[in-house]
Amino acid sequence: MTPLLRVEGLTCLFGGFRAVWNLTFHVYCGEILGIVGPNGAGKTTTFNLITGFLRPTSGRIWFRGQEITGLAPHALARMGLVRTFQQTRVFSRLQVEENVRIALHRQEPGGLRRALFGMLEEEERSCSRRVRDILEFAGLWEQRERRAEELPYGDQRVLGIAMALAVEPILLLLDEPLAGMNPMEAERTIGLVRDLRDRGITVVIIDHHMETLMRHCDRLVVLHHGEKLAEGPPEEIRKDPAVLRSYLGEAMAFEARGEEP
Amino acid sequence: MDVTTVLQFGLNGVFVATGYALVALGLTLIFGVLHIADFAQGALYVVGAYVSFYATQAPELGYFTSLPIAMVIGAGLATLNGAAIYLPLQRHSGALTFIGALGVLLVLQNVALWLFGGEYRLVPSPFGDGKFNVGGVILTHHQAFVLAVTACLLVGLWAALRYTKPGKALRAAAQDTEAALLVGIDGKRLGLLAFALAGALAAGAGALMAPIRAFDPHIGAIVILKSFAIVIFGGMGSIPGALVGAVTVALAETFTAAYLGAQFADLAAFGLMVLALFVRPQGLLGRRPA
Amino acid sequence: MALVAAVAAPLVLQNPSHQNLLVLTGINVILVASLDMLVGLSGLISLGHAAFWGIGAYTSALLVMRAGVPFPAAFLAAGLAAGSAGVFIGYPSLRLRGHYFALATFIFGIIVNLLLTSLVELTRGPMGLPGIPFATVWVPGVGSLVLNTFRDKAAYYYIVLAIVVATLWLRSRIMGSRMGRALVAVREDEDLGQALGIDTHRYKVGVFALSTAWAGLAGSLYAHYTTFLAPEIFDFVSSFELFVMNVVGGAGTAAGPVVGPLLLTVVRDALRAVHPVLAGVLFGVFLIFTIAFLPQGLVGSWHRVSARRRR
Repeated sequence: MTPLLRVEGLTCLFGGFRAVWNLTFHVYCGEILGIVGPNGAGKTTTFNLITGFLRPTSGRIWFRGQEITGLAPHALARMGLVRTFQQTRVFSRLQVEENVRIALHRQEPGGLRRALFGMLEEEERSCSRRVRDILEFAGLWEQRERRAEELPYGDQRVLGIAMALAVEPILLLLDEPLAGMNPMEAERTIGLVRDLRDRGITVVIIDHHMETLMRHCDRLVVLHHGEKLAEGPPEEIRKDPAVLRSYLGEAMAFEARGEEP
Repeated sequence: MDVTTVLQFGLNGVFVATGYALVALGLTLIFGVLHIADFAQGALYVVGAYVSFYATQAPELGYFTSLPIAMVIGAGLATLNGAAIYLPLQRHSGALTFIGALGVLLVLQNVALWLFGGEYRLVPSPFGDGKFNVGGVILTHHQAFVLAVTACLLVGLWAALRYTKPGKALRAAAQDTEAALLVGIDGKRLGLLAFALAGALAAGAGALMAPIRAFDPHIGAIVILKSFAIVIFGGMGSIPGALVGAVTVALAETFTAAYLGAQFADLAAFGLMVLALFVRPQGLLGRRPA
Repeated sequence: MALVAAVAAPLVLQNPSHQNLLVLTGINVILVASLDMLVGLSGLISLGHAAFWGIGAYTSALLVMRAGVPFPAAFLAAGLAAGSAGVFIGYPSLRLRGHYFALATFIFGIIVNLLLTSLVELTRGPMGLPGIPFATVWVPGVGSLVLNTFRDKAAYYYIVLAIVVATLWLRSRIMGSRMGRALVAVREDEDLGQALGIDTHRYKVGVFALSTAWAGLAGSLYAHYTTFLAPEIFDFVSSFELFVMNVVGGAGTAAGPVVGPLLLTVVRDALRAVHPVLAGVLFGVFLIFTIAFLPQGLVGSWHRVSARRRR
């Protein structure tokens, strides 16, 4: 099966520092892939490299069979490769509704005539409907006139994801979507991710909580100091000696070997 | 173009560079420590020039005493400016502080216009018309004096930055402000020190260069702009960068004036600055912005 | 209502020096409105705007004087020239972020000014360009009309007013359009905008070209009004004054670009009569005061206060 996203030999050096080193992995259609690793392992850097916010020192990336190495973020978003940011990024000073409206930029018709004389009534209605759909999906319709910065943090996070959805992604990259959430909010977000997968969107999640990702992802890629330690389904990762050595600690290592600690 | 003429131009260029170098040094120090582009220094250059003008008119003072007086006044005004205006504005974005600094320059320039009047002044040099002639290349006594004083100031500054405690702190902060703060250096006091030093340098430069060319309050703007171009080109926050930049820009200006015409000389400085902005925004020797 | 006042103004204020102020204020409103599309809408701090004003002015003046081009064509050519300069300067500059961009516009403003001064064969440089012909327009039913601005300022004022209205209309249309929303994204969080698929660089260059072209049109209006041009009119101080008018009026607000120039043009003129040097100090002080205490400008702060009172 051809992978949706192919990353090969990806390397990013800052001066002499190896942020990401010779990283190779694949993402397959319809799966939920987790990228795990302690802070500083190179997870967000990898995202930045894939989505065009950073130029790789070397290595290549393919998306849907097309090479995308070095393309600009907005071009990638248009191709269906959309990301969210680590510390939730929304347009804080703008209202929730305006946030979504901007996110729908690609879906909105533009051009000089509309700029000067406005959209046709039906175009207006269809835009408003799309905004409403997204806000209701995110559970934020009631809050639509509040400024984004006034929302509780969990809601802002959901808004960020909703905006990413507005761009109609094929592959969605979520950067630490569960950070700082209480268990209830985390469950809600995981449910959202499941919904997305059911709608045909492939999702890649970054987090540093191994347990959480093991529970919800189909496959994992484990990073450490910018290099890949392992790639595969959770059961294999759990038993992988390299991972166990550097990540899960002694107790679980004993458990995997079937011994008493 | 024979060798003598080229050498003459080169020498003129070096001389012009010294005038810029002092102001550029102050600018780069302030920028390195406080991340502020202090345009008001231009006004201090003007102050220095006028101090030497009035000093040469008063018989008890004379030209040579005007130099230290100018430097002290410059230091004082700069510190006042820093404390009253920049430090409070610092919580705003970098762009706004830049604009604020421009505003301060305009205000000070107009105040100078009001106080001193808009006519061009010329300060007579204590050396009169004396010149040195070295194999066809001419250097006036005053030019030699300026070069000598600048060299002394640079050496003194270098020594102070290397061997005194506040000096070392200043250098560290100019190179890496966060690291310096982590080590426990007092940012605010260091900032004021940077202002004082820069003010002294700018005013001193004004006094030194006063006998060279007729000046009026508007000269502050062009001086600070050129110095700023130098700092951008050489690297913001880098002291050797300021010196290298000064020499480069001055030589570029002199040779442009010689071969293309005087009216294009100014463009050379700004052309180099634009080049730096697009090719290497941190300047020749500057550090990468975070 | 404001429109009625604006239209009636020259009939009420018959004094030529007052009418002069009206025309100049009108030109400043056009300039500040165009600048506001950069500063207020897109968050792009441009400190060289007067340079484009100058490019437009000189283009129009020289075309009419040296090439006999009729005024309406020269007027449009001025906009085209300034807009092209905007694309040329903006394309590389807009790749820079934050205060690096402000710096680049500042420098380019100075470079343009220096060019205007040094290309003496073309522009007569520091000696200035006097004797610019009056604007000649063709009015249906009346024929060719020479707008002699020394004798009759009111007629010229109405032309300026028409352009002002067009400018404000265009600006409000853009602010409410898809392009406007993209530029808001640029202002609020450019990276996020990019992540959402917005080609921010293209929009930035677009609005920059539009803004500079509009400044060029204002330049043409200015040149044929005062019939005299000199490079120092379009120097950094003017750019700075435009910026101050924008910020003090209220960047990004609908009425700001009108309030700012109105207030500051009148005040500056009044002060110049009384104490010429102090007028220059005024702008600097105004700016510092506004940045420190009223960062949203007069109109913006008024909105905030009335919103709070409504709650």
